[in-house]
Amino acid sequence: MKKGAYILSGELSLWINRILLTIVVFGSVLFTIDQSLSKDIEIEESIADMAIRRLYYSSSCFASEDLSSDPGVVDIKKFTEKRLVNCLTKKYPIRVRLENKNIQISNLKSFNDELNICKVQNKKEKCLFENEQYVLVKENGNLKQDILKVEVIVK
Amino acid sequence: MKKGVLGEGMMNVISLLVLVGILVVFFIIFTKNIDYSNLKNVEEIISSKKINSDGGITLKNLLNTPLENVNLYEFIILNKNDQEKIKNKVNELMKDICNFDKILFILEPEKICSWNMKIKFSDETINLEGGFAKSSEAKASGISQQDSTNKFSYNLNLPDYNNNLVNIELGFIKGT
Repeated sequence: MKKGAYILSGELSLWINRILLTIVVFGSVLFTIDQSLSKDIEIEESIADMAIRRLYYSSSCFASEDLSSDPGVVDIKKFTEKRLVNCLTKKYPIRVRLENKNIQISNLKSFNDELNICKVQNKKEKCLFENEQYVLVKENGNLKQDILKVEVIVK
Repeated sequence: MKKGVLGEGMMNVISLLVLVGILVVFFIIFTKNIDYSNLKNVEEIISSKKINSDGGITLKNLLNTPLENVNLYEFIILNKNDQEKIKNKVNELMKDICNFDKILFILEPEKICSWNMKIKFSDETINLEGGFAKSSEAKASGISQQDSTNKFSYNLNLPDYNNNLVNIELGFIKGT
């Protein structure tokens, strides 16, 4: 065997190894990046939960306020559609109901339409989030127990 | 010898090209805008579930619930020696908050609810429970599988009329 031929074949096998190693490393890096970029972050449930809590925690919504905000106590004077819109805007359709008082308000007049669309879509992906919270309702300085039922649609 | 030098030179050129290629790919990946709606069909999902608690609001409201001239907490310490009276009153209020039975378990099993309350006086403890609380039924329903995610409890220490502390603990196991 000629000396040049040996050097050439030796170099060639070395190069093949280098190229294969490069491809493997390159592929691994791409795969790792792709995996992290392709993750879908589901935050709908958290958004709905925060919106619901805001209703009875914040004095900008329904929470009664004396010297400070009283979470969980609903001031009946604040329980209006106008206040609901100001508090949570119209971004997420929301319907709130005081069970014992039998009062229901919503931030959108077309809430039922949104609900129907959501129910059709709901088979694929959850968009309706519901919650029931035991609250006290303050009316003319008196407290009465009630259940605050909330439905939020987050798409 | 000349081939060796040529090989080294080629190696440098190819290494540079590979490096440039990697940088170009990284640049494209990290500078392109990702359309959020296109991420919907991807297999891997990071889910941020809601926090399964109520921040203690239910317990606070329950104890502040007015009953004639007193609230529930005062009612409890006034009737410390009449446990049946306390049980009946707490059960009555809790029916609105956490009501679940065998029929509901068939109709809406995902809304399972069970509660327990411990009222610890300095000399005695009252245990109350309700909803879907019987251990045999809970076992049959597989309720233990939900324990880790949907279980929460809160407790409060409040003074009675003699300045002894009364510990009240309210626990829930709730479905979706």
